Amino acid sequence: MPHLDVRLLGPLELRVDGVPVAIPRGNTATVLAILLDEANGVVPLESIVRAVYGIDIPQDPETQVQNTIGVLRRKLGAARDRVETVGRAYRFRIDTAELDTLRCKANEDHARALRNEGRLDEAVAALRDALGEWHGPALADLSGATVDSIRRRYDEHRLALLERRIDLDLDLGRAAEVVDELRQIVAVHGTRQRFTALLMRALHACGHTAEALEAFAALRERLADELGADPDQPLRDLHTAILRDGPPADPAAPAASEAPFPRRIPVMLPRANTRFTGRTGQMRLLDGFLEAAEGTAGLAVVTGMGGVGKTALAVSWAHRVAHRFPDGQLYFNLRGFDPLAPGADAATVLGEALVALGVEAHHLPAGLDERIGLYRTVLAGRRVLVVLDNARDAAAVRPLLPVAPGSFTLVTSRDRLSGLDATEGADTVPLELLSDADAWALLVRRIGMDRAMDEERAVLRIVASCGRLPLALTLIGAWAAAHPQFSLASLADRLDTTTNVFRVLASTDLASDPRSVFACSYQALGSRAARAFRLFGLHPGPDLTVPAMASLMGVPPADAEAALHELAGVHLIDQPSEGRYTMHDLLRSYAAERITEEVALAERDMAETRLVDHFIQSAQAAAQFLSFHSGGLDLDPPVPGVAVEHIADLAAAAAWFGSEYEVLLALLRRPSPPGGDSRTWGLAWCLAGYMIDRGLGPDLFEAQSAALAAAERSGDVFKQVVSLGYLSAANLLMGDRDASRAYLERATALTGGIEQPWAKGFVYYALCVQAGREDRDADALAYGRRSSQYFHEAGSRFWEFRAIWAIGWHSARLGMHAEAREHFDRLLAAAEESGAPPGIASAHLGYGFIAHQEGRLDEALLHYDRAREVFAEYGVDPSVAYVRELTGDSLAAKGAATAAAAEWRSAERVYAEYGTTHELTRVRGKLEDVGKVRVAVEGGLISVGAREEPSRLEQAVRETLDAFGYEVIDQTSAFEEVER
Amino acid sequence: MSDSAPGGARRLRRIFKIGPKRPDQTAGLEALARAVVARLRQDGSPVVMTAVDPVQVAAVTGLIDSIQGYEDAVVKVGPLVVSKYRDRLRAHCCTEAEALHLERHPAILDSAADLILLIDSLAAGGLLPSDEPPRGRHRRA
Repeated sequence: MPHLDVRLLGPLELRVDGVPVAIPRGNTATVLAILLDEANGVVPLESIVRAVYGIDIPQDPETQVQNTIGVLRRKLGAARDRVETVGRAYRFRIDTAELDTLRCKANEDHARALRNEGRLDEAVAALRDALGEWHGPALADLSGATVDSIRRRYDEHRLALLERRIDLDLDLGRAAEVVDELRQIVAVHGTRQRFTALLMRALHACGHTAEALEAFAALRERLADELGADPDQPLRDLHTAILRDGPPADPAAPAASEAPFPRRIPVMLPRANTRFTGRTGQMRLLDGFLEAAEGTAGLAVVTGMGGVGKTALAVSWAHRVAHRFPDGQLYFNLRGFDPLAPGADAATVLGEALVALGVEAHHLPAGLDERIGLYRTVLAGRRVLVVLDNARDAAAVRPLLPVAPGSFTLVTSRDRLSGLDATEGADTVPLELLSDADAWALLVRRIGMDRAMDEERAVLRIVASCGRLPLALTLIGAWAAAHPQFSLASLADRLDTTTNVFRVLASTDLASDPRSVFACSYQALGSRAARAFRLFGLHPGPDLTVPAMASLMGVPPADAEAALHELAGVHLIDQPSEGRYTMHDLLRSYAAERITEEVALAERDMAETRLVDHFIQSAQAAAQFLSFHSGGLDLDPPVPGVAVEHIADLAAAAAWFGSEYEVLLALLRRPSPPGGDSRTWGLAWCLAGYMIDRGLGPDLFEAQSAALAAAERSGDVFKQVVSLGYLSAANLLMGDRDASRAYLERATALTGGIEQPWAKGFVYYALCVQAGREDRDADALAYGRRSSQYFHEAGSRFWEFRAIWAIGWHSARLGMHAEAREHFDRLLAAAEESGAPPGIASAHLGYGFIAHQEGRLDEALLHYDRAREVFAEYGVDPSVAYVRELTGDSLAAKGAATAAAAEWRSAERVYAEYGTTHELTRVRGKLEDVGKVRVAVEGGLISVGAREEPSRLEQAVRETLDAFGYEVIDQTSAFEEVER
Repeated sequence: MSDSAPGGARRLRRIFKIGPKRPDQTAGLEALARAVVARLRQDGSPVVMTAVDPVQVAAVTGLIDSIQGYEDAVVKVGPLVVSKYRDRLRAHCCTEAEALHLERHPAILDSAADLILLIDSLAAGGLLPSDEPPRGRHRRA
C-alpha cells in the first residue's frame, strides 16, 4: 500500500511514497482538508457541499463536489483508494503515522496518561512532540470560511497544548527555563489570560515578584483597552497571592492549592462511533454555543426522542472538542429512562466525579449539598467538559452543573428540559429524525451501495418505514446485511405491514416505541440468541460479561458467547469494551417485555437465582485476591448452570469489583432481591471485605443492613451475629464508635443463644479489632485470645490464624515479646506448612515489630523487607503500605529522617488511594513531625545584650548541636551589632 | 510596671544555618528542643533528665549553664527558643505555626524579656497575636 505523508499543521503538504503531490488550491484543497479533518470518519456529500459553497450554492453542487473528488483521486495516484465512497458520503482512510493531526493527538493522549501516572518529565516530552507537528499556522496557504474555521480550531489547540506543557514545566520547577519563552508568547497573545498567569507564576518563582505584578497590571490595561473587561477571578486570586508573598499558585487550581486534593485529569468519554455521520448542523450549533460560552459556565442540551442518536452526537462532538478542556472530560450515563433501574443517584454521580477529579474517597462528604459544594469548588478554575447522558429531567441535572467559568456541560435527554432553559440559560439543540439523505446514507453504508442501487425503491421504502430513526435504521441495516439472500423489497413489504403504529409515533415525535422494528430483528434471531436477548431484560445493567449471560441462560460460556456475538452482529447489543456487552435502554425495555410475556415466572426466578449465584461465586473468587477476607465461611452451593468469572490475579480481581460493584449493590437494593434471603446475605458477605478495605463505610452499612434484615426474616441467628459484626465495622469506618459499640453489644447478646463457636469467635475478633483501633491493646489481646479459642473450636483455621496474629501483635505492643514471638512462630509454621505466603509475611511483620521495640533496628528492617516482598508479590497494597509505614518508623528511630519520610509518603499514597482514614491520619501525623524537623533545620540565632560576650554561649550551642548530629554550616557568618 | 523594653537598645546578634552532619544520623532538632525544655521547669529551675543519651544530657546541661551566666540572651535553634533575662530563664519548643509566627516577627528575638512573655503566654495556652485584620461587619461570624 502506498505510504502517505500529509501535513495540515502548517502549509498543506501531501506526499505519496515520499514524492510531493501538488494539490490545486481552491475547492480540491478545501475538500481534502474537510475529509482529513474527519480522518477515517464519514463525511456526507451534502456536508461537503455546504462546507465548500456555503450559501453560494452553484447549480448541481453535488456533481461539482464529485468532480472535485475525482480530481483529488487522480492527484493521489497510487493512493487513490484512500478516498472511499460510502453511500452518499466519503471517507479518507489514513493511518496515525501518516497524518500530523493524528500523530499530535496520539502524543497528546500519551502525555495525559503519563501525567496521570505522575511521570511529568515524560509527559512534557510527549507534549513537545505533539507541538513539534506544527510548522506554522494550520492550512496556512488555504483560504475560505471552512478552512478558516478548521485553522482556528487547530491553532487554538496548539495554544492549549502549549499552556499544558508550560504548566507542567512549572510544576517541575523549571520556571527559569520558561520565563523568556513565556515573555515572547505573552507579547504575541497579549489578552490570553492563562499565558499571563503562567508568566506571573514563573516570574514569582524566579524571585522577580515585581515583574510578575507588572505583568498583571499590563494585562489588566490591555483587557480594559481591547475588550473592556477585567482579568478573571483566578488571575486576580493569583495576583493577590503574589502580593501577599504567598507560595506561587496555579490560577487554574485555586481549589487544589487550598484543599488537600491532588489534581487528576479525568478522561471518561466512551469510545466514539466511527460510523457516526451527518448531524453537521447540530455539531456546528454546539461549536457555536461553546464559543459563546467563553468566560462562563456553558450549558447545552441535546433533546430528542429515544433512538434518535443523542448520545452518538454528544459523544462525537465531545471527542471533537476534548482538546479545549485540558483539565479533562467527565461522562455520566444518568440512566434517566432505564426501563429496569432507577436513574443514577445525584450523590453517587457526584462522588464518582469528585474521585475522578482527584478527591480522595475518604474526603467525600456524606450529604448531597456538601458534595455539590465540593464539586463546584473543585471545578472552580478548571476547564472540564461534563457530558450528562440520558437525563430524566432538569432536577436530575442541576446538582451536577459546574458554576465557575471555564467548564462546559452537555446534557442529553428525551425530555425537553425547558426548566434548564428557563433558569440556567441552557442552549438547546433539538435533534430531529435524520434527513432523507442522511438516513439513506446510514442504511446504505450497512447494506452496500451495489445492493442499494439494485433495489433503489425498496431502500427508500425501508427508510420511510423506519421513520428515519437512526436506531431503527441501524438495526434494519444490520439485519439486511446479515441476510443477503433476502430481497430488500420483501423486507420493505414486511415493515409496511407491521410498523404502522411505530410510523405514527415516530412521525409525531412524541414517543419512542419502535417495537415493530425491534420485533423484526428479534423475530429473525435464532432461538439461542433470542433467549439471550430476553434474558438481558433480567440483568440490572448497564452491561454484562459472558459468564453472567451464561449463568442467566444456564449454558456453558461458549454457548453464551456465541449468542452474544449473534446479538452484536445484528446490533441489538454493543461491545463497548473487551468482554462486556451493553444494550440500548429502549431495547432492554423491549427485552424485559418479551421475557415477561414469553417466559414463565418460575423460569425467570431460576435465571435470576443463577445470576445472583454467579455474582456470589465470582465475588468470592475476587475477594480471595483482594483481601483474603471471605475465606473461612461456607456459603450455600450455587445452583446448577452457574458460570464463574475467571479471575487470575489481583489486577483482574480489582477490575472485576470495579466493574460489577454497582451491579452488586443494585441487586442488594432491589425490594425483593432475587434468589431469596440466603443469597442476599451471601452477596453482602462477599462484598464485606472489599468494602472494608476500601473504607466504604456507608455502603457496608447499607449492604449489611439488608443482610441483617434477610437473616432476621429467615430467623438465622448465626447470620444475624455476623451482620451485626459488620455493621459495627461499618460504623467504625464512619467514625461513629458509639454506634459501633452498640452493634457489637447486640451481636454479643445474640451469641448467648446460639451454639456455633464460629459466630462467637467472629464477635470477639470484631471486639479485638475495635479495641485495637482505639489503642486499647490489653483489651484487644484478651478479645483476640477468646476469638482464637472459638475459631479453633469451630475448626476454622483461616480465622484462627487471623486471631493468632492479632494476639501476637497486641502482645508485642504491650511489651510481652516472648508471647508475641511464640504466636508469630505458630503462624509462620502453619503458613509454611500450608504454603500461604501472606501468612509468612504477616509473621515477619510481627518479628520486625518486636525487633523494633527491642531496639534491634537493623534486624527489624530485614524482617520488614521480607514481609514487604511477599505482600508486594501478591499485590496486597494496603499491607505493603503498612509495612512501609513501619519501615519508616525504624528508619526514623535510627535517625534517618529523610529515608523514613520517603517510606511514610509511599504508605500515605496507598492509604489515600484506598481511603483508609484511620491509617492515613496516623501516617500523616508522622509526616507532619518530619516537616517540623525539616523546617527547624533551616536556621538558628544567638542574640545577647551589647555589653555581653557571646562566644561562651556560641560554643555551648555548637556542642549541643553536635551532640544531636548537627553543625553550623555557614561558618562565615559573624556577630553583628544591631539596633533594636 | 512593665519591663517589656529592658536594657540598652543595641545588641549583638548572629544568624546562622544548621545542617545535619550526616543526613541519616541525626536525632532531630525537635529532640534537641524537647531535651532542653525537659531540662527546665516552667520557672526555669533545672530538673533531672532521664532516659536520654549521656552525651546529649551533658551538652544540654552545658547550654543551660552557659545561658544562665548571661543577663540578657536569646538562643533559637530550629523549633527551640531559649530566653534568659535577669533571673528568668525559659525554653520552648515551637509548633509549626509558632515557628512561622517568629519568622514573620523576628524582632521579638531581639528582646529576651518580650520573648519570655510570649513563651509564658504560649505555655498558658494563649493564642498567638493575630495577623488578621479586624472582621468587617459583612463577614459571617
